[in-house]
Amino acid sequence: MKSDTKKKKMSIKTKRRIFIYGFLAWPILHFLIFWVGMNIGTFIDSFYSYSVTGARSFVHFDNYAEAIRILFGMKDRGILNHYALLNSLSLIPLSLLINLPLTLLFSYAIFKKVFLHRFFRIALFLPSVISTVILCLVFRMALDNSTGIIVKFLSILGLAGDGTQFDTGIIPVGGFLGNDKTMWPTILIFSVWTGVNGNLIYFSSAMSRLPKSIFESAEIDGASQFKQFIKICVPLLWPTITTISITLLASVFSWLIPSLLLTDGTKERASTLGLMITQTVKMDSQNTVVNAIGVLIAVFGSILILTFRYSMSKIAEEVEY
Amino acid sequence: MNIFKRLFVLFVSSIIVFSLFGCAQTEPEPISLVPEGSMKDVYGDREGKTLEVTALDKGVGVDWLRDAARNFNAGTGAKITIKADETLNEGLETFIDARSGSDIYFSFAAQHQWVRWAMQDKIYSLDDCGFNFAEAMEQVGVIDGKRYIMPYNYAPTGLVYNANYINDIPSYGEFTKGTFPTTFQGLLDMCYSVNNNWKKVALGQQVVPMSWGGSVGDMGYVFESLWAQIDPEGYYAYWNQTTEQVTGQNNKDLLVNDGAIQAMDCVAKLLNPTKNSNGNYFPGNSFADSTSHSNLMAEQKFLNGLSVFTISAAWFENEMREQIEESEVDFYHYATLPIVNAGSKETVYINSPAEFFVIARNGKNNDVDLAKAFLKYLATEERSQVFQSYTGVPTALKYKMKTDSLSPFAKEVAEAMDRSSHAVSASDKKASLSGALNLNVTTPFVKLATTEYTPTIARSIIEEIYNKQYTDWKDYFKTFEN
Repeated sequence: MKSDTKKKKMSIKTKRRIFIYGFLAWPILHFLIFWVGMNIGTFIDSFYSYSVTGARSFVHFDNYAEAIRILFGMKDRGILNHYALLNSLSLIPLSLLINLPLTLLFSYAIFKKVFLHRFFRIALFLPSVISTVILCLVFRMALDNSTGIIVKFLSILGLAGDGTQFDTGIIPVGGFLGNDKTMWPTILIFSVWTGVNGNLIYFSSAMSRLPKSIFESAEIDGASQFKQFIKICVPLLWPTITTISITLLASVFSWLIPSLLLTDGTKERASTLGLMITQTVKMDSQNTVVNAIGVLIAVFGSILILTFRYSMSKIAEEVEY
Repeated sequence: MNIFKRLFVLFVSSIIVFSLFGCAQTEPEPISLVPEGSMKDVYGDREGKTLEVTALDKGVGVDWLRDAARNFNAGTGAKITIKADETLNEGLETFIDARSGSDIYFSFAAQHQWVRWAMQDKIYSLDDCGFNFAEAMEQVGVIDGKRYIMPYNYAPTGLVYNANYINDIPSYGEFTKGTFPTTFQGLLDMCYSVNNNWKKVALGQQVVPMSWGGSVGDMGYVFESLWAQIDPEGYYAYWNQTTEQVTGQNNKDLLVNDGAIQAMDCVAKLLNPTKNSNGNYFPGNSFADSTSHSNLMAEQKFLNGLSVFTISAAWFENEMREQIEESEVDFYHYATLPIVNAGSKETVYINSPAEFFVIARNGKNNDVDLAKAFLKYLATEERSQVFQSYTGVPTALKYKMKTDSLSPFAKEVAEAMDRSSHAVSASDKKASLSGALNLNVTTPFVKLATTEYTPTIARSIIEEIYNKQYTDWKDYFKTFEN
């Protein structure tokens, strides 16, 4: 009788295991193949080079030496250049110090039901549901020197010179997207325009869960809206801010679409790490220098993200409410 | 009441059915049909044999290929299907590497890509097909004497000009009103007249002499055409060089020479760097932002009447067909690059290899014999003529052009091809096949357009291009040699 119960219990346990592992099998398999397998393959290949005949030869750390030369501007081969690293790194302060605070402020304004808050919610969220391809196209057309709405607007403001080629005012030679000096800053402006809104929905839903009573008592105590934002809203939302900051930080290493679509994807001044790797692999799938670049970025990125996460956890403690 | 309802439903259904028939794409009649017997005699009885061809649906499109497949199928009993893909050039590398795919691909690719496929045995040799290529293309697609690709699109580049404007621009120097310049000085004089004497306004802005895709290789067509025109021997010596080691810059003279420098100087003069109010230089014969324009933007601006001419090629009419039909314009004409030095022969730079055919070893039907038979059929004079009548672009094969079925623009291209020399920037030598010789001039031209003109700037730009080639040389050869 006892052994029967034991048998029955074991069978339930086994069934439960099968059930759990059955569910986990797919993500585990996916992780093993597309993360572990791919990354191991990339890492191993970073020590080899391929000839045009497909023959593989061990090249020690040659690819890493070449990758460092490229990333630090000692060598460039078209899209493989040091601007990719500089541009990608410039996205970090942009994302964390401009996009994220702006998103937070807009979310707070909507949360506080400012005048026309419903309209702002739709207007601010709209760019994030429209395809980036369309946004890039619109932005590119708006900057066209002959017909672009931004250029026409600058003309109305008297900033586009006298309308002839000889006096273009603040419009640079080659246009904003064609001039080496303004190409990347213009792309950054585009990324602020489109990047502010993406996380609005996360912050809005996190704010909607904040206890209203804290804000009410703060208001009774005479705290200004700004003080409520800084002293109550931000600390309560810190875990959400940390999570979104980490995703933003991680995404800069694979950021490429606006660069690809606003320029033709081959401009070295508009290059990013993601674009550099994608374009190189597309043209030459056996270029293992990009494997080495990928490994270096992964190591550097991991250290950066872990340090950042640690620092964020030290700034404010998680509050339960 | 019920019967009315039924009748109404029947009526609506019949309208829907007829509408669907009306909207359905009807199978167009093949342009020509070779009698069944003779096709089978030449290409074999292929009853029920299947083959899949994937073609790049850009530029020359795929209608001509579908027509060829219909004809071939009707004549031999084969079942060749054509798949159109607008981004085939981007995915081709993946398709060729895949376990299985289409049997034939028609696309363009970076030069070293097809070389790698050939060296890695991923595409079949076409050596036994016996194609009869135009002289300039005989070495294109060949490694160690063996042919691997079948270049088909023989794309002559040149200038496309607005005849209405040419009839209106005041004569100046060597430029005569009503005639597109035949000398390079005449072209520069025309540009001067457009900027200073004519001052035509269209769509609220002054018409510029030239539109060009500064972000792509458009100006490269001008440079290569002019270099091959000024110094044909020097041009071919550069592309056919057998150099493998560049220690001591032993091949410098092949690029840094009088012919190339004069061609670069012509480009500089054509770009006409001009100082603006901010003290910066812009291409004075073009739009200030033309260095960021794509070829399509440049062509569109030309069609909008914003420039007198644009740098383009035989594919212009086909590429801009929708816009041309929409705006009902017929002012566009083709011209080769004007002559720089009296006595030189008119020269057309052929953009090559443009779209080409390859037979993949991973083809799902694995019928290389049928694939080769189809390519042989495409190499016939008749199919070349059909291709040209569809696209306005000649093929890379030797054949007699049939100009009566061509549009006026395509006819001008054909006539220009007949009377000119053809320059191709590729050879079967390792320096060319490895990609070490690639004349990547897009960035130097932007510099040329935005820097003050001096008599020595052409030489310094050419030297800059050579130095880049010298620095990268070992990288290209390392991959090729191992």
